[in-house]
Amino acid sequence: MANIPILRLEGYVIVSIQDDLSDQEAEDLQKRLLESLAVRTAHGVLIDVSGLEIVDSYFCRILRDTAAMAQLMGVGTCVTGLAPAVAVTLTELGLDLSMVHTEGNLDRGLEWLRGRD
Amino acid sequence: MANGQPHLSEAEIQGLRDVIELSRANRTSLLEKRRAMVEKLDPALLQPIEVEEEQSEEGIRALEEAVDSGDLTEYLANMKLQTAALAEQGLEFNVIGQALVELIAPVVDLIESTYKDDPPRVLRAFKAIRFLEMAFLLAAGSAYAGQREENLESEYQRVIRRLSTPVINVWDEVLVMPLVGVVDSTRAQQMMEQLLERIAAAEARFVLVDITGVPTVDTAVAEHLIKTTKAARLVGAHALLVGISPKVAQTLVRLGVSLTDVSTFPDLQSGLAHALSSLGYDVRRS
Repeated sequence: MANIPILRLEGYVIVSIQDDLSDQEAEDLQKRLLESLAVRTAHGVLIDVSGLEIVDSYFCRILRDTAAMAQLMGVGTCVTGLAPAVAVTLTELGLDLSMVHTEGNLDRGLEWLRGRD
Repeated sequence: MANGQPHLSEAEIQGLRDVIELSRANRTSLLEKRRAMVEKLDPALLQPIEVEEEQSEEGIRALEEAVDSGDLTEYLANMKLQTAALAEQGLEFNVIGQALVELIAPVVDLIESTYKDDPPRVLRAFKAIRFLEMAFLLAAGSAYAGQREENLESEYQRVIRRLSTPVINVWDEVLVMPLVGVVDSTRAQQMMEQLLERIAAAEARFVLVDITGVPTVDTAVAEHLIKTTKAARLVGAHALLVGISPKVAQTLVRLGVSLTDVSTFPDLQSGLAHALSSLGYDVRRS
């Protein structure tokens, strides 16, 4: 899969994941995202996963870790657009995303980040 | 009688043997009557004459074997299975009963005409055939009762599933899911999926799960509710648990269930008020 674009819009970093990632790709994405925050700080990070039909335990951890790392760098993170079926699976499997803020869609995520500033 | 006493007396055995002999001797005419009866009942059930011949021969043979062994238990069990099959095909009980009467009438006529000079024998054979009739009716009765219970049970399940989890849009971005009745894991699962779909579709920010109608909340139910709350949060909505009665509150605390991660309210009204004020609505009389 080609590099996932890391976009900036009005001071917010936006990453849209449209396809399932391999573990390696997920780690790469995490690294590039944090580097981009180091180069220029941002008001917040939005990770949209509305394109995903499956979220496994590894990717779940990547999301959790990324949010925690970005927080250490002073930037809040919001994961948006988890599909209902994915939410059910995560909960049933006991995969915990409670330390990551989640919103239904990108709009809401942006609204939440703005409210934090 | 038939089920309780599968072991036969000497007289009953003699009577049954007479019935068997008569049925054999008059096979063709009995078979014709049977076919006429079946055709009247449901033409779709009518089979080729060779098959019917085989079946009636087999029926007689099975009865003969049972009589020879003096133990009808297996014969009766088989009869019950066959009636259950008829019940499954959707034949009504009274239709089957009517068919039985019509099947037996010609045999009774035969007994009467064949043994008319020997009244004790007529009586004996008549008793035997009554024994079979009763056994058949008992088997049919219990098969039907079982069938009916099964049908009712699955119908009941279907109705509950259909009615169980309405999700109501009470305000912009606010949903209410009233739970009524017993929450088991199948229902909880289905309830969660349905709720999440609706949250995503309505872009809801608040979901009020009303458990006023849930009679008992035990650890398993509480677990389901906590899961639902977590899943709702993943798709971007706050789930509030409302309608917690004093009794339920007592039970939960005694069970040691922790609902600290879930916002709870005593009734729907206070939950709704909280949701609306969080959304910035100012609810007051003008």
